[in-house]
Amino acid sequence: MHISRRNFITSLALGSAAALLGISDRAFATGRGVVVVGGGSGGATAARYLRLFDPTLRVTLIEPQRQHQSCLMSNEVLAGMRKASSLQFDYVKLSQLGINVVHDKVVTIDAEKRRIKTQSGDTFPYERCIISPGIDFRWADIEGYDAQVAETFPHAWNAGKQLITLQQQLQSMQDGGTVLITTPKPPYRCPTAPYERASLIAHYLQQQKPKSKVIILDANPTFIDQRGFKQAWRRAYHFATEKSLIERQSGAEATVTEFDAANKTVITQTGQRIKADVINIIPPQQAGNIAATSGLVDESGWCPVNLLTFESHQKSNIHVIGDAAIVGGMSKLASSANAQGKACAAAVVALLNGRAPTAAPLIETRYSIIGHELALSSNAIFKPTAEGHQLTQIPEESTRKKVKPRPLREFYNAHSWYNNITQDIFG
Amino acid sequence: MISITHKLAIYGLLAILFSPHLFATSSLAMEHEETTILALSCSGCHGPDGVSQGPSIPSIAGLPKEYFTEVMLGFKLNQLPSTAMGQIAKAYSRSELTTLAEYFSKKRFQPSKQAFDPSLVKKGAKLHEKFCEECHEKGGSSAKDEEVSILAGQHLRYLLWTLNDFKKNKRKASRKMAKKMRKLLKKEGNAGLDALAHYYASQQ
Repeated sequence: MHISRRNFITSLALGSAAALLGISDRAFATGRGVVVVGGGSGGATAARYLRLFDPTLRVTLIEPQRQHQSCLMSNEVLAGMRKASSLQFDYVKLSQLGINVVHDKVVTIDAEKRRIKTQSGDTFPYERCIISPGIDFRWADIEGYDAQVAETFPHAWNAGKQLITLQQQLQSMQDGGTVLITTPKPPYRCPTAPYERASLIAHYLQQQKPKSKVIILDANPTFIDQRGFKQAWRRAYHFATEKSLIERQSGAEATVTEFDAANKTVITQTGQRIKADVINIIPPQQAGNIAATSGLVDESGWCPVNLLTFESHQKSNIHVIGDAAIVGGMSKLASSANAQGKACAAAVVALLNGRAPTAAPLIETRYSIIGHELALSSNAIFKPTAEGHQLTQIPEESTRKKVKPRPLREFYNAHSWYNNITQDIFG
Repeated sequence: MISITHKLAIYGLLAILFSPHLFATSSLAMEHEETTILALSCSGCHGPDGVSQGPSIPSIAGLPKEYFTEVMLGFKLNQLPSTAMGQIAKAYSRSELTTLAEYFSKKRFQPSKQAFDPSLVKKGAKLHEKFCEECHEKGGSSAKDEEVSILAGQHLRYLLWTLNDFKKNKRKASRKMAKKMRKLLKKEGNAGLDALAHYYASQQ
């Protein structure tokens, strides 16, 4: 490109003016910066680390809620072990870091014009955009169960108001009652959480309503950390005996296809009807709606991405992280979203500076609380190949030691982890 | 005579040369990108910059390089008891572990603001002076000797568990430490370990 002497001099002068005003050279050059959509574990982490990596970078975070409701540790609320208020996080620290936090809802992401429009009519141009939209539900998959019914029979899979509804239903249930938890087919958010929830509801029942029980209707024949859970349930809740507080059915006869709200009954694929006093249906899931309307999802309903940069395979300059993204063998967990948020922020900063991104190790950490001072944990570490086509688990799953519940240590480590990861996310 | 355009150009050049943005925009992350990216994988559990909020996962900020490397190798080779680290350490090469040790040794250790039993502190201080101070200098706050960890201000539960691991020989102490520990246990029993832990936790 030919630059005339005069233009060159003028641009030098303008550049320096920008520098004197404290505007970064890059932000000045493009006037755009990075926009992060969604302020959950993935998005808040990404926004925070973008600024930590490059304090001059213009970063905007768009999130409708003023308070984030943590799903982590939310099952402890059901057990009466934790106050719901301890699950709330605000965005003050992120603002203090110089992130422009906008409480608004994204309506469209125009990948061609690199422009985001919000519900209140504002427009946010971007150089690169990171979206972490979380999940939405596939309401069509269970007949008779939709967003409205879920207000009365809560899924409580986003914490918040429905978590409190579920807690109140447990509290008002008579002793001798049955609590039903149904799981969807994978992939879904936090694949250990239904079993943690069953454990902590059992804990509550043991303390308050010992003649009651929890039934898990599991669409999956096996589940993650299953060995550890079963061992823990035997230890704490008489699992696999007549006195067991937790029962689990799995397979087709436990896959819910229909819900009869009037009769508090779920109906499974094989026609089995199960009535319960408190019903917690965890519906099948897909990437948050904005991902679909922005053309980021494939036929699976989730977002394929490059595993090094998290840039969408379908739209340039848009990076997808967290539950919505397909990230090799990584589970959809807050810890995965946190790890991806950091790696993605580093990659985006590298790309904006015209450098090749460095492969980061991604750790997913799964802590599950079982009861008082009893918990279990497992983790998996992944590394992307240099081009980001594949994710390798190191060391391989087969060489891993057995997951088992441990009193005290795992429990207090779980709480430490919660305190630390939420600080890593929200500052 | 210098024209306006030339003046602008000179001011422009000067401003750019002295602009903090031209040379200093890249923060620590970009100076040692690979190191930082590697270390980021620790912060989810051990806290940002390795400063843990507790109540039990230890802070790793400011730990001496040699101690850090030795412990991580111990986890990697199944020589140390752990809940998670035995698995995690295996994912890093020896040279990556050295890099991490270097990185965290440069971070500032921050004593935990935590609850402790004040009635045990005096006794703990006495026991520390007698049995531990020789290597764990300055009340356990010094990391001068590269082989030892920082004890003062570490999380109480972690201190208690680790002392217990040493006691039960689940974690192997050096010959010198094992000898001191035997003497302490003979004289004071478990109450001695409790007092030590509360003394370290009291240093905030």
